[in-house]
Amino acid sequence: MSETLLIEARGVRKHFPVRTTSFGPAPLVRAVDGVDLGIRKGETLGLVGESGCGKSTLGRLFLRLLEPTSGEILHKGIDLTSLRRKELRVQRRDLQIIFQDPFGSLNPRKTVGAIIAEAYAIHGLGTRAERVRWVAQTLDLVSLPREAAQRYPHEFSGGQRQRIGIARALALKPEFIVCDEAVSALDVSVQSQIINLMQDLQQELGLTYLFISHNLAVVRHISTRIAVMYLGRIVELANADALFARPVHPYTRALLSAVPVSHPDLPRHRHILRGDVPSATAVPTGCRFAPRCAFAEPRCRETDPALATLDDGRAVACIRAADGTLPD
Amino acid sequence: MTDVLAVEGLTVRLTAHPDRSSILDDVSFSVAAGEVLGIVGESGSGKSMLALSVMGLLPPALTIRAGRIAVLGDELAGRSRQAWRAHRGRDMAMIFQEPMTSLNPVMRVGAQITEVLRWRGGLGRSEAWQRAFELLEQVEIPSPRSRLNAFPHELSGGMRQRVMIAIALAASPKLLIADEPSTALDVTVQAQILDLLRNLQRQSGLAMILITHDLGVIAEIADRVMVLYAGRVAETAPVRAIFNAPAHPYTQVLLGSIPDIDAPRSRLVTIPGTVPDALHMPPGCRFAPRCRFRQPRCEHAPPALRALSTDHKAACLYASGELAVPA
Repeated sequence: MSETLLIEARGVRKHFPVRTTSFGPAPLVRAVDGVDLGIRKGETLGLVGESGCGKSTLGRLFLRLLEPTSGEILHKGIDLTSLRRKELRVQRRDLQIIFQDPFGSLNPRKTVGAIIAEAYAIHGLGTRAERVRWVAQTLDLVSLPREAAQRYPHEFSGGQRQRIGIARALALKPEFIVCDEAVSALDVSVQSQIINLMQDLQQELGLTYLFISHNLAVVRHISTRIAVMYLGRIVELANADALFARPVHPYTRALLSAVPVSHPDLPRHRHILRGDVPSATAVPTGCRFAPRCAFAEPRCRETDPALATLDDGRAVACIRAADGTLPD
Repeated sequence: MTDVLAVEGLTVRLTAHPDRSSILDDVSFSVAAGEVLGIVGESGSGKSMLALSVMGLLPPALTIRAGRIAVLGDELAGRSRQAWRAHRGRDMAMIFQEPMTSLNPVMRVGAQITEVLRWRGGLGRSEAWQRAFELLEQVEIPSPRSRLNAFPHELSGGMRQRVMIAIALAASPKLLIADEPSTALDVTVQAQILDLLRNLQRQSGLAMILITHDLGVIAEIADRVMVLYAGRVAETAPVRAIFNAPAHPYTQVLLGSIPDIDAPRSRLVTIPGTVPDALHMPPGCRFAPRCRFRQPRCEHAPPALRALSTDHKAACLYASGELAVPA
């Protein structure tokens, strides 16, 4: 795998204002709060974290489906955030997204063929006959029958609808696909079909994935590298196997230890976390995980840790990991 | 050990279409005091309808057409609503997946707990409040005194599920049914809730039924497992036997289709096709259309649930040796 970055977030922030009240200035939800993350060509980067950590917001920022509050998104050396509408549209042909809910993300009044061909219409590509042929080829890719083009989304099962969602994303032959909880709504027997399909397509078409999920077993299975997010920040970034073999950041440790074991005979080592995730409107000062961290020292509440690369190549945002004082 | 719950030959059909396929078909199982029975199934397996049948809470569109349900030896199937009500809340309680929709949004937490204590436990007002405080302590809610005065929306998802558990435990039931209790929660909160349920169950010797689609949850918490497929029991066995020696082809592919977080990566097993439509079930084995071992005989009549050893049963002609496994 080459080390070239296909797409990169630099210092990206996204703050949402909360509804203004008569009690003073509107608080800001700091959904994504200073993220640097490069995705390498051909890899699957897994992005994990709990609800509200900002992982879906970050995924949308990569495609500029949301305007960042600050920061840059670089795709092949071009900053997406600086582009005008028309220029962005050209760039977007390479960048696609698959959503979680195969029921809510497909227009029920359009045939599957029209849903897939919409991309060609928007970009003014091909003649009518060419578009029909391209739709058929795209359906082949996701192993749906070509007749599916004449039918409507409700005629398909959940797994088949997710195939339609994938087909729509593939219509323009993109390089990069954000998969936002793309298999989370599916039953396990169907989920495995879709995971295998996504892996086959990646091989065949040389795709790069940003795979966002709360399901850690699925993320480990599909990812090359994994980024762990907590309260709008990346707290650890490592190769998938290294992360699971030895999670370093205290939050990663707690997160991985909470995953149910895969066999009743396996030992359980729980690091139960205290309390709940703080609100993204009231981010703690210093390290944002410090209030719940078993290893926190007074200095952790003062210094906001940067993501620092350790000897084994992983990056961790923890001052105790950086200076080697974090216990195992 | 006595059976807290015994279900035999339970068959549930659509009220309006008694001639159509059954939603639950000839389901038999029991749960003993101090035991956790895990029920696994995908959507459409009938696992939630099974729980509602036991609680006597089936929606009017569904009717129990055959079978027995005995709670603490008391036969309930076919009896009046009052007969169920005498047990519900007192001997058996249920917690659901989404605590926000099961809690009353305009009632304070304390009032919702004391309601059970006063009606079911016959406690007076101040006794009930004291007991409610103890229950919140027991489910490990921080600063329980002030939480009694909170409304559900003021609590986090995990906290709300703890309140649901406190309400379920208020009348000291003998049987607790938990339907996907941790599915809507984040993984770190899920771990807290599962640990809490397991601890409470061990302390009080409750019989517990845990319904889930997640085999990891089963591995964590169940003593015994029942695998449901399309309204029928496919296999039932102690938890280790299910993971070490699954006998039913469906259980086998189900285990293989899940990414294993503790093992090297390999290609996932897939099951072709989808779960059959509830109204058009295949006449024979309901898994047959998706089964790689399928033979003409499988499609004639549903295979009976047969004992493979003392406590391991499977409904499959291969598993029971009635058909030879193809090479």
